[in-house]
Amino acid sequence: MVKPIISIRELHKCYWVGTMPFPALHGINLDIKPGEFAVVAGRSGSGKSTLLNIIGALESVDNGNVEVLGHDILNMNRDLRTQFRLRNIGFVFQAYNLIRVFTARENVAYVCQLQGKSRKESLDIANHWLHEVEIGHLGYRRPDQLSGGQQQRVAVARALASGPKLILADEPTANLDSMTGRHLINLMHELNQRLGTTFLISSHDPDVKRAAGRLIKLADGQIVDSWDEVPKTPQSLASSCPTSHLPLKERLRKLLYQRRKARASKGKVDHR
Amino acid sequence: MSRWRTISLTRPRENSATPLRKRCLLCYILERRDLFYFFPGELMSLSTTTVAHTILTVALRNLLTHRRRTLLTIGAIAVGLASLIFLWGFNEGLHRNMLGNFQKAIIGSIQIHRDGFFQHPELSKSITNPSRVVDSLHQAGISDYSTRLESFALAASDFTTQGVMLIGMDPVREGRVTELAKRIGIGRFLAPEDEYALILGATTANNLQIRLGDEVIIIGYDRYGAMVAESFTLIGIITSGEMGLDKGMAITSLATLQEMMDLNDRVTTFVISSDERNIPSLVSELEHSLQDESLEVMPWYTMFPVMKEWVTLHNGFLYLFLGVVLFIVLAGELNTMLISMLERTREFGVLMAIGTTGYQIAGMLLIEAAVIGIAGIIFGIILGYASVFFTGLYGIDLSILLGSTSRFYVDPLIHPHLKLDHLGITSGVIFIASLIAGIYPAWRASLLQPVEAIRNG
Repeated sequence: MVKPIISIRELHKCYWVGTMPFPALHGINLDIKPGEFAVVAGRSGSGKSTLLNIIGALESVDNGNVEVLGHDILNMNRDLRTQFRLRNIGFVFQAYNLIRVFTARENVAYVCQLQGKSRKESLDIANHWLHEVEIGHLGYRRPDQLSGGQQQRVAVARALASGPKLILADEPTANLDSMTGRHLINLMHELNQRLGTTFLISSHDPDVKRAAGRLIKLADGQIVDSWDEVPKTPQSLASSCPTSHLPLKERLRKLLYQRRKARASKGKVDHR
Repeated sequence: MSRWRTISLTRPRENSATPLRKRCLLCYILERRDLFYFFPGELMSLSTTTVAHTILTVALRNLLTHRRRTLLTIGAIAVGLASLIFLWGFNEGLHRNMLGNFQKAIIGSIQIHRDGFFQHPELSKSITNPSRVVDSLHQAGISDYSTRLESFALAASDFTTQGVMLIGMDPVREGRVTELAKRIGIGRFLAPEDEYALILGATTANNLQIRLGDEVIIIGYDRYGAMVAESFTLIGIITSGEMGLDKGMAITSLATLQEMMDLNDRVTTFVISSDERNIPSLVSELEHSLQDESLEVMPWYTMFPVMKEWVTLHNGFLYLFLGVVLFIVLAGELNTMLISMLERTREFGVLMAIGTTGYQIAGMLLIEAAVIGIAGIIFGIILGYASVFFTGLYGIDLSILLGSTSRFYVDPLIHPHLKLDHLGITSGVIFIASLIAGIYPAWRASLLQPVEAIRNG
């Protein structure tokens, strides 16, 4: 049996506004296996972002156990958490959140430099990942010279550049148009398949849910539903296809081929 | 093996092989670990230098991104520092002018008397062996000195009498230590061939109702206590504008007074001129060499401490002003740093989320504060030094305020002069102030919670 990369038991989190409690998460139990492409879905205020923040060692909890990569992150101090995030977790935020004074490749290289890699090595890694997310030619542009989709690709490259085993993406497509969002999700899915990096994405975007390898539905701070394999209709497959310019038959054929390939490689944790 | 060598050998080859022209200077310096040989190897590892470089880059680029704000803050610091430097320069010029005039007027830099003479000037306390003092002065390398004979006396004209301090001066040597000759407004100063010629202050001459060429009777006591009286001719009147000189002083030649008081070669006072900085060392050297002679070696500030205290008080006002400027600098930079911090709260949250520590965030803000401070100090020094240099060259004419004659030993034309210790203290304090201005925002930023910062930033 594969040890889960994320293991959550009886997680409770409550926000307080003055003396008024606002329960965010209530009795969450969740295991995420390595290499999964999991989507946490739910309405606004259902606790998606809170769950991701807790898994990302960004937020404290009231009760429960959270283990990420075998580490009890709740018992880590502030500096250890920072180091843990730097070494093991990549973040993709809704609002891209790139460093505005850096170029795209410097943004990606930043995390590598924080890890202690030399500037040259870091920039080489940044160039590699920018090519992986198909914007290698935009490396010298600053965030304000990039479109939203391009910025989010830079954010994905930045998340991957530190070589994390887990990527947490909080509503990554929320600020993008549907087509760009779809492309981004396909890219992340493809990277998940190819690299075996675990992706945990929070979203209420139907396209993201369709692409999910596993869908976790949250409502009022509780997991109300969880599928290991999301049933897909031909339409949903077509809409999540990166080759949408091809005729439908051809697209479906390509997608089915990709899915078969993905199934064949299932269980492989790390391709690198 | 030496520490230097160990660290040099650990320098990565690929970095040294990289062409210099393609890399930024900062990157080059930080990756040249052998330049930081004074740090232990593990502290100055490649990862440390890389992280330091990254943090520095973010800090510097942030400053460049907000050019207007950065320049305004740097400008405020520079103008504050420049005005302080100018004030210090003006103050120093004023003090030099005043103290120089004070010493050159009549008292000199150092005086040597018999013990107790300064408090109770009596001819019985004259220096019996002046040649011994002259030898000591020569040993100390002092050539600018003069000898005097000083005693209280009564000056009488046809109309009235007035008490005066009667001073016998060597007309030739006196020019080396004082500029009394320049203070003669009417008539002339003593010449070597003058006998029984007298110079009086303007107020005394006025009180005695006498003019140039008139006869003045001087009545005094010789060294045996016997009353002596001689007739003198008024050849000069001092019109300095300073009460101490214009009132109560009568000057004649040393030889005349020695003859009148029957003191032959004896003198009561040696007056020495010296550079201000050398006075303490000269005093201790002379005290040491004349310790067997029962003589008192007194610098000007021991004889007239009120002048020294006035200078200290005046400097105290400037320190007060320095405090005010510091407060303005502190408030200005704190404002800039706080705005910068609040504007970038979200960015700091993101940086923390992706692995930047609170210390690194704090370091980033402190670097920004330090860079602003250093830039402000550099421009401030250039501006301030230039203002002191040019005004020092041509002088600042205060004759509108002071009139054409000097008052309280201050000439109307002030030449500002900058002392390096004032420059160092002011710049150092402003640098520390700018760092302090960065500490609070840096501390606050380091305590940010990433999620809160991203959510609310």
